[in-house]
Amino acid sequence: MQLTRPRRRRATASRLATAVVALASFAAPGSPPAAGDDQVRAAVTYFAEPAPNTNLNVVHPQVSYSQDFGDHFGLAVGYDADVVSGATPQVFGVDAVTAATKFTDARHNGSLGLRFLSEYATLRLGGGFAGEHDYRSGTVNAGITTELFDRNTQLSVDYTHNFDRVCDANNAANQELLELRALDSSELCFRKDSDQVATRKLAIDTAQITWTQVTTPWLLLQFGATGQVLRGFQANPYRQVLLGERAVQEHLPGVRNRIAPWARAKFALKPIRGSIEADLRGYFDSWSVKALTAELAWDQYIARPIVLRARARWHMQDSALFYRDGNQYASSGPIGSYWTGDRELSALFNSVYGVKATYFIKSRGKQFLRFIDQFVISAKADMIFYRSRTANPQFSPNYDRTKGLLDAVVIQAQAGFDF
Amino acid sequence: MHSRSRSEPPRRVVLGLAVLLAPLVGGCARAVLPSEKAYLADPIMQFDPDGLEASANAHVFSNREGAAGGTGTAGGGCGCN
Repeated sequence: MQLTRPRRRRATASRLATAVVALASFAAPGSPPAAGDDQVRAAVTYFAEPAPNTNLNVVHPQVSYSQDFGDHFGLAVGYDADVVSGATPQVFGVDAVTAATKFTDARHNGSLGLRFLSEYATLRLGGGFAGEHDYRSGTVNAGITTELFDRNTQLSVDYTHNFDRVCDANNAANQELLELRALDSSELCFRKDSDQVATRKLAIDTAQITWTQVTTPWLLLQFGATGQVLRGFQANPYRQVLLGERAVQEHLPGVRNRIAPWARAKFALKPIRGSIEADLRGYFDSWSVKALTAELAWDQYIARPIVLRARARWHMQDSALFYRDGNQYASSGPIGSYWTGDRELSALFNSVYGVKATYFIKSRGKQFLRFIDQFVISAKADMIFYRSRTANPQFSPNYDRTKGLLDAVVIQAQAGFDF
Repeated sequence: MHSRSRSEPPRRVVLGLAVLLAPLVGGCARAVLPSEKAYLADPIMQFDPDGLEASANAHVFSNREGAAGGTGTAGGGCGCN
């Protein structure tokens, strides 16, 4: 079996690319702090996927600040980072686990948002930049929200554009797809004096519409849809797929069109001071990935200042049109001219079960500090279970991480204050 | 035997939409007054009241699932900001 030479660093560019998209494009329209909230928050999230050979650990610190200045202007500033370490297969194939390689990486992301408020609408403008050794992403976004019918109806439209650049091996001299070689180090990335690496572009356009409706004093509904078009390099430049006996860099289509409609409902349990939320999301894309996600959550006051939240989430998806398992790629080769070793593109079922506690400490008479209204402290834990829905799960990507009783855990601690 | 024309939507879809939209239509028929929104203003009646958590969740799931987007928008609640 062909192996790449040892790498000094191994960045999960594809994953982080997706993360940047998620943070910059999808979270941005709905990112708190909400208009009108003057607040500071800081959180640290620890994510772990324990596995004998291919473990993954991520520490994700976040800080946000938001404040309105007068009646017509608001400002939001955010920062987050990923510190990633673990081990992952260099080559997706039938014996991938034995070829796992250790890696570490760090990503930093900063964002700035402006709000312009009027009697009729709120306009949001913002941007951000995320960077790591082998991936850079710039974003600009704009959105508008208006309230109608005695403020019982809220309509929002948001748009984000990503200007992303991905470091890749310089494959200009390789005319055949089967000659594509993977990036083996990020050391020379984004340096103009190197001909061993190349910079590939990825442009992402994301639009989202949202309709939120107060229907009764005890029921809120929300409907919406997110559409996204990605154009450019979308593969993980480090990942190789074993086609026959040859390890070739992952090769994905250059265009991906996505759409995700959703519906949400929030139901007040007034007699017991609680609420129930139900979410349903569909997803379709031009790579033939189809998915359905459902989530239930129950928030409950335990004594006045403490809220407990329990939630469950289920996600089921089909595989991409060109996905094959490691054994099929090795024995029969790819379908067409695309191949992948990405778990995200395989048929799978994920479930999440979690609890969260939030403690609100009101500043009576503002005795802590004159300008602080309330302190907020929270802690949460989620358990994640992965199940492959492929015919031969043992040959699916990251199978090593799906064999445990508990496949992943997310722990978050958060503190902040409103003023 | 009764046959449905190709352009006619399935009854289940119509029924589902009717069930889904019934409270909406009911709600629109009479606006909820500001005085009735006290409970809706509570943080537990907001969609995604914790922005950092929602952002971290999107981060985790977008890295482990092929689907992305459609996670909704924060806010809602009383609509009285």
